[in-house]
Amino acid sequence: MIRVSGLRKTFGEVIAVDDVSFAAEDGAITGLLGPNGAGKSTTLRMLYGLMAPEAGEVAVDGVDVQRRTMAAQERIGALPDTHALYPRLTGRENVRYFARLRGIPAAVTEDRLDEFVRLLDMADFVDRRAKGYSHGERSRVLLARALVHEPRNVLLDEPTNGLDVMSTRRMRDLIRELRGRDCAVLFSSHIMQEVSLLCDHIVIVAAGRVVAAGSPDAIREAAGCEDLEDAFVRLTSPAVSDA
Amino acid sequence: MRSAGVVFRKELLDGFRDRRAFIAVLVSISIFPIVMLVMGRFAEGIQDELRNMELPVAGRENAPALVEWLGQQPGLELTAAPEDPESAVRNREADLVLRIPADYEERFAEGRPAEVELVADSSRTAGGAKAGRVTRLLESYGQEVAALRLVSRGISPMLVRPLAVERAEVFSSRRRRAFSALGFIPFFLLMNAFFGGMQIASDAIAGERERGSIEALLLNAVPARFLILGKWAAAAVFAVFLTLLGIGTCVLVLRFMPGALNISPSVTDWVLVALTAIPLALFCSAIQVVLSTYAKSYKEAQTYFGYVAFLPMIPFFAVTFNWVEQGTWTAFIPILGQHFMILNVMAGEAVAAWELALAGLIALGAAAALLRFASSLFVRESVVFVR
Repeated sequence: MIRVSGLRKTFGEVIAVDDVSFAAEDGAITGLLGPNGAGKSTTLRMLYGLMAPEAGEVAVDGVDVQRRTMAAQERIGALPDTHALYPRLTGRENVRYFARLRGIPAAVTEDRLDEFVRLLDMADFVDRRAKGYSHGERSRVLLARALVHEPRNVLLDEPTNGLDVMSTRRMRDLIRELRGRDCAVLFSSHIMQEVSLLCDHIVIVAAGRVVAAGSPDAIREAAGCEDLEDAFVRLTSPAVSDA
Repeated sequence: MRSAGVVFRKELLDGFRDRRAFIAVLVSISIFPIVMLVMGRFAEGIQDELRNMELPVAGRENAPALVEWLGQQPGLELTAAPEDPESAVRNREADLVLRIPADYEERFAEGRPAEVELVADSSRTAGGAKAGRVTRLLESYGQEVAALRLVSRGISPMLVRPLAVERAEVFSSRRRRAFSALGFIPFFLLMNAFFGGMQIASDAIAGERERGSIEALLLNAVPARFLILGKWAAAAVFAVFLTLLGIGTCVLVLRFMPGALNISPSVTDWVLVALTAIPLALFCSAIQVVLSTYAKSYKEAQTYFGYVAFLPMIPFFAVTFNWVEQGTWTAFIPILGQHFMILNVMAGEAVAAWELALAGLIALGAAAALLRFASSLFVRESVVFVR
C-alpha cells in the first residue's frame, strides 16, 4: 500500500502539488483523477522517488521513499507518463532488460514474458523491433515491462491514454486482475468514465490540491450530482464551485 | 555491479544495431589513414620520377660541354625538345624544358654569365621538384667551371670559400622522421580514442533522456552509478575497439607507405602504443559521458563533442610548433602525455614502465572522478525532467 501525506512541490513560482494526502490500499484500485496540469504526474514522480518533495512524505509498504529510495522502488512497478521503449530492441528485449536490471532469474522472466504475451495478445509484434510499434502495441509492452517483477504496488500514469477500445479493455482486465492478486493499484487519468468504471477509490486533484476523495458514490454525494462527470466538472473548476 | 553488466550488454547491443551511426563512425576514422596512404604514395611517385627523369633540351648544339656533362649524370636522360617549349609545358606535354640560347658559347668564352633557361610550371608538383633538381645540377656544373677558371689563373678555389659550415645534428634521424612524418599517428589514435565512444555515449545518455525512456529506467531500484558505469563501459568498449582498429590501420599504413620513412616499429612498440592509448580511450569516454549527461538532447551532446574535439589536437599542434618541450611533467597530463609517449615509441626510444603506468593510472583516476560526477548529475531532477 502507498501512503502519501502533505506532499508539496513547486517549480519556481508555480505550485505544482500542494498538501496532497491520500492512500492507495492493497487489493484496491485507486484513481488519481484531474484535468491536465493538475499535478498528477508530478505527484506520481514523487511517489516513485524521481522527484524530491519540498514537504510531506511518501511510504510504500511502510518504506519511506525519500530515505530508502531503492528499497521503496523494489516494491513498485510503474508506467511513467513518457511511455517510451528502446526503439532498436524488440518488445521482448525491452521487457527482458528491465527484468534483468531487477535481478529476476532468466527462466522466470521467460515464463512471465510468455504469460504476458498471451494475456495482452502480443504474439504478433513482440519479437519485432519497437521502432515501428503502434500506440496500442507500445502500451502493452510498457505494461508488461512495468509488471514483470510482480510488484505489490503498481503506479500507472495515464495508461490508457490514446488507446483504442480493444487495448483499453485488455488494460482494464489486467488492472482488475492485479487487484485480485491483492496489489495496490494507483492510476492517474483525466477521463472520468475510465476512473468510474474501474476504481474503488477516487482522489480528485485540481491545481495541485486534493479537492475530493472517496468511493465513486461518496464523490457523487459530496458534489451533489447524480452524474460522476458533472461532479468532476463541478469539483475541478473553481468558477463552478464558487457559484 | 551486476546491474552495471546488464546495462553494458544492452547498450552494446543497442549500439551495434544503430548500424548507420556505427558505419558513419567507422568511415570517418578510416578516411584519415587512407588520405595519408594516398599522399605518401603520391610523394613516393614524385621521388621515383625525380630519380629517373627525362630532360628535354632545346639548343643542344649551343653548349656541347654542358650537354655532355648533363648526359653523364645518373638518372637523367636528355631528350629532344618540343618545337615550342612554353606551350608544351603549359599543355603538360613536358614537365620542363631546358633551353640553351645561341649566345651561350660566346658569353661563356667572354667570362660573362651564360644564360640558360628552364621552362617549368611551378604550380605542378612534379614540374617544381624536377626544376629544383635540374637547377641544383646546373649550379654544381657552374661551380666546377668556376673552380677550373680560378685554378687556370693560379688561384686556389678555397679562397672563394672562406667558410665551411657543418651541422652536427643531435636530433636522431629516426626521431626527426618520427616527429615530422609520424606526428599524425598519435594524433590519429587519440582522435579515435576520443571519438570512438561518442555515438554510444550520446545515444545511451542524452538520447535516452530525449526519448523519455530515462524515467522508466530510473525506477528499477538500480543506483545511478551502476547505470552510468554500464553506459560508460559500453562507450569505452567502442572507443578501445576503434583505437585498436586505428593502431591496425597505422601498422598497414606504415607497411605500405613508401620506404622514404623507413620506420618499422616492432610488435612490442605497437603493444606499448596500445597500452598507452587504451587508458586514454577510457578517460575520453568518461568525458563524453559527462557531456551527454549534461546535454538536453542527442544533438546538444554532439555539439558539446564538437567543442571538446580540439582537445586531442592541442598536443599535436603543441608538438608540431614546439610550444611545449617533453619533460617528466608531460606524462602527468592526460592526452599530452600519451601523445609524447606514442611519439617516443615511434622514434624507437624507451618508454619507462613507471611513466606508462603513471599516465594510465592518472587517466583512469580522472575517468573515475568524471563518472562519479556524471552519476550525481544523472539523477538530478533538473536533468531528468529537462524536457
